[in-house]
Amino acid sequence: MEDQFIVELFFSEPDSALEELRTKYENYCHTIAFNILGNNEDCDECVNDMLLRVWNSIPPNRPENLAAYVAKITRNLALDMLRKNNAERRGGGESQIAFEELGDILHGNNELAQMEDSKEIQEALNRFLDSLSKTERGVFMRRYWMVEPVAVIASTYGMSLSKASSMLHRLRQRLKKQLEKDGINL
Amino acid sequence: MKTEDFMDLLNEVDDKFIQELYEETEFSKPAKKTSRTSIVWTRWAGIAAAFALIILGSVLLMKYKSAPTVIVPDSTQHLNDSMDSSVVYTDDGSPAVILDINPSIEIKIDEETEQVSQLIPLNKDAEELLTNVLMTTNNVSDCVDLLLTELSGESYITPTSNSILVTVVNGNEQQAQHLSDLMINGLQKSAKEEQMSLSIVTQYLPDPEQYGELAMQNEISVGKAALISSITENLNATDYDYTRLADMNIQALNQVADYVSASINRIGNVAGDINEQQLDVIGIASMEIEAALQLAQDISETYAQLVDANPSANDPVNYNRRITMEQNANSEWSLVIRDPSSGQSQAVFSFSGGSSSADRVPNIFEHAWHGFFDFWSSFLPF
Repeated sequence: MEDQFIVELFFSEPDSALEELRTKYENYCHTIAFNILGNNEDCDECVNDMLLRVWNSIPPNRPENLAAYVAKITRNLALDMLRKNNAERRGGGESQIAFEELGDILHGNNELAQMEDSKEIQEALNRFLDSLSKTERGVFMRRYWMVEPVAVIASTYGMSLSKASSMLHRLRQRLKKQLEKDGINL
Repeated sequence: MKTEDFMDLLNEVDDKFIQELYEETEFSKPAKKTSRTSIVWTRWAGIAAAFALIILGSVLLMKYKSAPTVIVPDSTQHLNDSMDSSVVYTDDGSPAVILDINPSIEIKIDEETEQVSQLIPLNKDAEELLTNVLMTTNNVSDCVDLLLTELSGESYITPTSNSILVTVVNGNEQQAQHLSDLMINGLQKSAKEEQMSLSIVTQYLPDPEQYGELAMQNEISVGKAALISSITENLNATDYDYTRLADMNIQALNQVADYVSASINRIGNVAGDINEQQLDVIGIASMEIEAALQLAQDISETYAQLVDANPSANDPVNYNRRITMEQNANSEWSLVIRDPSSGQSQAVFSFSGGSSSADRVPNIFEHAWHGFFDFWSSFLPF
């Protein structure tokens, strides 16, 4: 079913809408949560929480992009759950490796970014993603948004593991340079 | 900032990027109910995956062990610490391939195994480039593929700058031909996969020492020195400015060689080439050779300035913004970059064709028609 019909259905028949949403996006959201959390139990909980949040938020919300809407909610929930989990549980997941990679470009400043700064960084991130080729963007997003293992990314794009790793290294450095150019010091 | 905070910020990227990710991924299939049988299979699949990972890990470990050595720069003939584009080559006398783009990299290939044994950065750009490449293989084709990806990612190779100089040094002619073929095949295979069109210039220097001194004096590689010699082979040393040529990058030298029809081995058209018909009308072939070389350098340098002022010319989305030579109603030639969607164009470096060679010496002035951007005058050096 088309996304816009699913959204409309939430306004008239929410039960059916939720079932349609589950059918269409459960695997997608499960994949996002699994990459971050690394275990099925937590993922199932995340996906159920996502469904509940969507149920509670539509209406009144009417998301223009349902795929992005559910993906962002799921990713947020998974990251929250990751924080709640203890260090040992987190340590085994792909997210820990991805976090360590991102350590290259962050200065480890413990102060949380101010609201205005966050907006500025988000805009800079959008500009950065816009500046990439489709393949580069796919590789970057899969690694740091989807938290996919590098081997899976390499296989998706038909490249060697080392080529994917090199590309990610270069993209992180490029992001760092671009943010610094924009006066953003992470 | 902590990585967790950064991951949160990344969550708020524009929806279009998440949509793009969703559309190109297989998980967009509708969910299927999980049966008991599939759970059993999933368990077996998990065990199989674990074994696969162990095997993959072992293979990768073996690959890392056999990966070529990236040599630290101490063993190369650096000219001085402040150089940007230095160096000649390592001088052990064994056959090797030098890739010159701007980064200059010497690639040592084992004669028996035909595998890459060493990658040697010959200048600072190459040092930086090689620190970013995770070499896990010594297969020539795979190494070249990794290098090309990095060169493209760092914008050394772009749609408007697609030249690579492949110089084989030392060895006999047969060995040189073989090494050259290995390198060209690797580059072409990788370029095809990356949907790039390269212009590869190849040359063989049985005695690279011949160019060693010239290269050292001008702080260029022996390959570049040899290429300049090919371009200027019919000229006396006093007829041209060697420093000006030495300052040009491989892309510019490839263009100059193309415009003056120098005798070099080239595979693939150089970006910014001018078709033969236009070259005939411009009359470059009938000019005095020194004037032709000067005009060719002017065109090439202006081309580079036009590219610098229009970075979107390298954007795959805007790749139709080609830079071309065009002639207006007054028979004046210009380098033009045109945006088909808006109809706007920029033109710089116009010159008139004339009947005598003197008239054909470029009469450079600023010229533009159709739409007009204000900023172009800021990068005109004339």
